Amino acid sequence: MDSELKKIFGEIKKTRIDPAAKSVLREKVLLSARGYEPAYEEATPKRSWFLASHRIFAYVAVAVIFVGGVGISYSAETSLPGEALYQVKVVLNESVLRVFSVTQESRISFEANMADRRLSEAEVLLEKGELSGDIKNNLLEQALQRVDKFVTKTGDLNEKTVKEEEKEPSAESVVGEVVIESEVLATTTEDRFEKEKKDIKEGLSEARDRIEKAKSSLRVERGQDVRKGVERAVINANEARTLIRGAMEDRRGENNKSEEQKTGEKEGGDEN
Amino acid sequence: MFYTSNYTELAHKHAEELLLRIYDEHSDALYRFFYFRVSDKEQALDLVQEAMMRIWNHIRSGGGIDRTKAFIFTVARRLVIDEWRKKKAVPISSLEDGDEETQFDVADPSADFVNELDYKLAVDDFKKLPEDDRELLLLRFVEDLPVKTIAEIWGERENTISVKLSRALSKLRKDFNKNG
Repeated sequence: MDSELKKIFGEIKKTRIDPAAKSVLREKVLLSARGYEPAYEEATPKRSWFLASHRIFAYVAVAVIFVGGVGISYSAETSLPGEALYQVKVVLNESVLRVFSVTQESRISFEANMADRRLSEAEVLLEKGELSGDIKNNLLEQALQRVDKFVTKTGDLNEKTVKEEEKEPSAESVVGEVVIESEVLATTTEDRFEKEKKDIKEGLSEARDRIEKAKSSLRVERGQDVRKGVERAVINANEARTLIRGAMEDRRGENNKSEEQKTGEKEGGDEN
Repeated sequence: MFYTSNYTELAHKHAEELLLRIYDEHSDALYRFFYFRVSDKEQALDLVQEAMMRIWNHIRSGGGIDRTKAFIFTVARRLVIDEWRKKKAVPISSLEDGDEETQFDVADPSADFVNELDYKLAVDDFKKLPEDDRELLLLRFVEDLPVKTIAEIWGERENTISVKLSRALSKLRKDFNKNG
């Protein structure tokens, strides 16, 4: 063939999808493919792709703004354990969220949010009937660790509050907010597993009672001895933590009893 | 780290991996195929996605893929024909009379990292060819498919494809020499 013609074909071969659009389209293909699976509820409705060409403008706009990587990160937000993008969500996205948690209060909130995310994933999988034993144990264990950190950090805040009590008269309200968050966490936990065993509900109910007492102790002490109120609030929050943990452990017992035993021993050791 | 123990989940994951591999390796080729068949990039991208969904259906239904390129271009060709029928637009055969010349949307050179002059030089002649000639030349000389494979995709005899290719190439050469 003539060299000129070879050149023409060589030039034509350079026609490719714009890299950013290609990345976005890849995610769309994956999501659409999952839409064909009855197990995935967030199925993208089947449409005539040919006629809906205006959507491409949206792809390109997204591509320009997020330049590929952020687009993937965004898509990963809805991923679930076992899916390709889940590691992006856990490793990348949540690291970014942690980096942006600058104040002590936001770092405490971060732990509550992470527990909330793991429970939320468990909830979605539970609703789909895809919450297998391994994944369930793993998610609840992670949620539990976050709640533990939440309580630990609340304790740290308590120490700070006590130290800065005289300088910071608003310390009471700060701890009050933390206790309220604790209550929200317990409430959402209860909502999520209301269909589950009765003893879990009872455990969560007791946890909420404890948190209510924590709030009450703050109210009683208001205007009087803030330090004591803060200490009682934290003690009660800790009790709530223990109760939530108990409720979670009830849920994961059925699949791996030996693991539960091991965890129980470990937790016993931690408490000592 | 999570592990899937359920067979269906494993099968689903493997199917997804296969789909994404096909996308990673062949989406540009699909895009070229559609881009040089239709008149704009957006439609070409839509068609790439629709083709991937057809490929996905094939994978999910347990269909094997022996020769990926032959398979994806068969899917692509059928898709173009189906979409044209669905739209009840101008029949493909009538596009061969040269009217499509004014409809053809030249790619933005900067987007494809191609020198503007080179690109114009290359595509201006290529775009003047009839629809089927463009497709044949693309499959043979851009995507490097053997004549035998193209004959399978088109559902024609190898000799017929060879003759058509030869004529298409002559037309392109003639146009190029005339303009160059």
